[in-house]
Amino acid sequence: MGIRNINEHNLEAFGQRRPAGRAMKVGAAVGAAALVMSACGSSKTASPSSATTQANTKAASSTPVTISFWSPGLSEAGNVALFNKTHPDIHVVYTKTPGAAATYAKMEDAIKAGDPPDVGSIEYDELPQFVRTGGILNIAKYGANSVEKDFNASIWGQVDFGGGTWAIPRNTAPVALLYNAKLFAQYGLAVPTTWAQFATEAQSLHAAHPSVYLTSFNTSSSWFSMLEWQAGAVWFQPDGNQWKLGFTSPASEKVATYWQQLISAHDVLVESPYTPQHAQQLNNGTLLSYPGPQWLESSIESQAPATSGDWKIAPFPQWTPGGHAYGQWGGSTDAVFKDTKHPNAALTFATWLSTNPQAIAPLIGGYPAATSGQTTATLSKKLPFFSNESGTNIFKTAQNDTLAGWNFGPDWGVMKTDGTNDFDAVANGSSTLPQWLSDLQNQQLSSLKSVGIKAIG
Amino acid sequence: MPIGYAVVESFYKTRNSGLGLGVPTTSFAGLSNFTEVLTKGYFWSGVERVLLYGIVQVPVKMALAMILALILDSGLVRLGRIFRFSYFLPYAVPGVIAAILWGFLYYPSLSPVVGVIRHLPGAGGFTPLGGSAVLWSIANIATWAGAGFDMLIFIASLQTIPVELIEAARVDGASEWRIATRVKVRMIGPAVGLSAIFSIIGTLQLFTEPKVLASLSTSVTSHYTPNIYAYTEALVAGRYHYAAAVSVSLALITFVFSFAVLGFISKRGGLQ
Repeated sequence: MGIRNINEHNLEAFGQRRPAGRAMKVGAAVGAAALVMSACGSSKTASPSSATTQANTKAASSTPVTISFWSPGLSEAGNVALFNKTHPDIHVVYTKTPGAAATYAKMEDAIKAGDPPDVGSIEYDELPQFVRTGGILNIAKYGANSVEKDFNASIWGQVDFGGGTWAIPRNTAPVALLYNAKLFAQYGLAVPTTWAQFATEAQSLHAAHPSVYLTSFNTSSSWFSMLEWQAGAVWFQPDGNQWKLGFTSPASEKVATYWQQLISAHDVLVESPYTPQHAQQLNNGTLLSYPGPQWLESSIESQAPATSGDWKIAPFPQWTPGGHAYGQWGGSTDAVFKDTKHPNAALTFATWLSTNPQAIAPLIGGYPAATSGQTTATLSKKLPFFSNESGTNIFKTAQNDTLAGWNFGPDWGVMKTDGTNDFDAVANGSSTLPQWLSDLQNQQLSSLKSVGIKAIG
Repeated sequence: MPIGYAVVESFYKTRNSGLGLGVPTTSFAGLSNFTEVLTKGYFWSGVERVLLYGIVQVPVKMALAMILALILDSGLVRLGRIFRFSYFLPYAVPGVIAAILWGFLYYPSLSPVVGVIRHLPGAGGFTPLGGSAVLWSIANIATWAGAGFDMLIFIASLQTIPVELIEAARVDGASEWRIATRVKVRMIGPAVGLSAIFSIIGTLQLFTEPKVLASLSTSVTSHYTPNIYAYTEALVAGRYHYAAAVSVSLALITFVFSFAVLGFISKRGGLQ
């Protein structure tokens, strides 16, 4: 479970507290079951990464050391207990933190006060900002790169940048098209495999049934950056000692123009994905599909209980027929904070969490970052809400074919809020998405400059 | 103490270099944070917004509180205690909870009220969470919560008016209406002034209601009010020094307005 997911539920989706709570309970129960299953089948596993972990443990210390761990996830408590049991020389003290935004504020404050945890969960998009403020440790010199082979290059690239390795990837968020198959059949729609087909169907569906929409354009910068990532745009590209901003690159504008046409023609709704209204529209059949990441499964399940069993999972639509290019939205890493007194023990724990089969198995509602995690029983579990599909292969392809080269900027938090603010003008028709992109680029140029970071347009 | 710390912080700046992925340096920056606050526009647009809000909301709330206080004080109402309690009750509801509850009432597809209003002639496009309307939706929440509190202050103050004074006015032939407007309202002037100052400070510090409604309305931005702007800069952008400058600027403006109102009131008090 990525921090992102907790965030969506606890902070942004205030209308869905109750369903989220229920989903978590179910998740916890399933998690316990998975833990039992993994315990039964764990003896056969001895991956290279766990061997590395063992070596690190020995190198770390001969007397037990205590390290602290902050994370808002769901499967952490069980994992920490397991780790403590199997690692007598390291004792991890786990603090469950509130949703993402509050967690980061707490971490920033702790860094400022010189008292951060040893290990903490940070999402990919927030990581460069923590590197920028100097709060986390470059773990390259403690041997973090020995586990690089356990991850896809596109994922490792998210934690290895700017001449350092800053965290160990734990969860990712591969994408798919989640759609209401019952209503697709009712309206005679085929599952769109390309964006061109998606647009044609959005138009014909809405023309024939004015109260029904194929999907909604989500006024969330992160959702949009997921689409940009897939199209091969790179908003932040290191270029020597400066960032080259790519908001207005041809690939980036292609996505904006595409969605603007759908918005201008009123073929899609424009709204925030975390509102009670959005939930209601998924529930009553106003919205038929949702292109988004894997963690959305549980989100839609709690938002639209009336449509249980009607939904299915299809591969994310492509720009070129038969293509395999994907972006992501969400996922988190575990970083070691710079004031730690036990960097080796901290790294051992962070590596274990992400690469040890027993730690990966109970992961609920998130996708394991390590390639070895793609075959866990949890991932291939049939989902009753999604017509008993599991989407295993769809998400596996989306994970393995996620485009490498995407970077989150050093001021991503500001970009995200600026972008979400500016979506208001797009929603009410006084701006367009291409305009949104160029505004955002200009805002980033000036805000990066104001903190001394070099960037060019 | 906290203000002193914020003032000191606001004169420093944390800077990166190059890609911004090395350890940043913090150095004295003079007034440059303030220059940015005062020229960037977000701060002033927030201040303008809360002032516009205050000009409408504060008088409306206080007038409502005054009317309720006078009615309850007049002795014309049976079960006065129950009314007094029920008007005050909203104040006891935590601000966040109140905003969430009102959020549901404003939300078009969930609200029992919005649908009814939309059926009234000329109100088909009623969107309490849209564009400019959301500011007044916020004002409505604050009025609902705050009027009862002001009313209690006014009632407490009304009860300190000497009975002889009211009797004398009555003997002189003054109607209840004239007693209320000419005697009672004037006698509780200081209480009115006090709640005016509190209300103005509260207005400039507007935070909770818009913060909660932001998750329902795209029109509530991350710099909607000066307080939300400071919050965003500190906790989203991690620019603590700049956020300190925003806070100090807001504190200065609050001082100016509070003293202006205080001056205005004491001048009027002097005339009487």
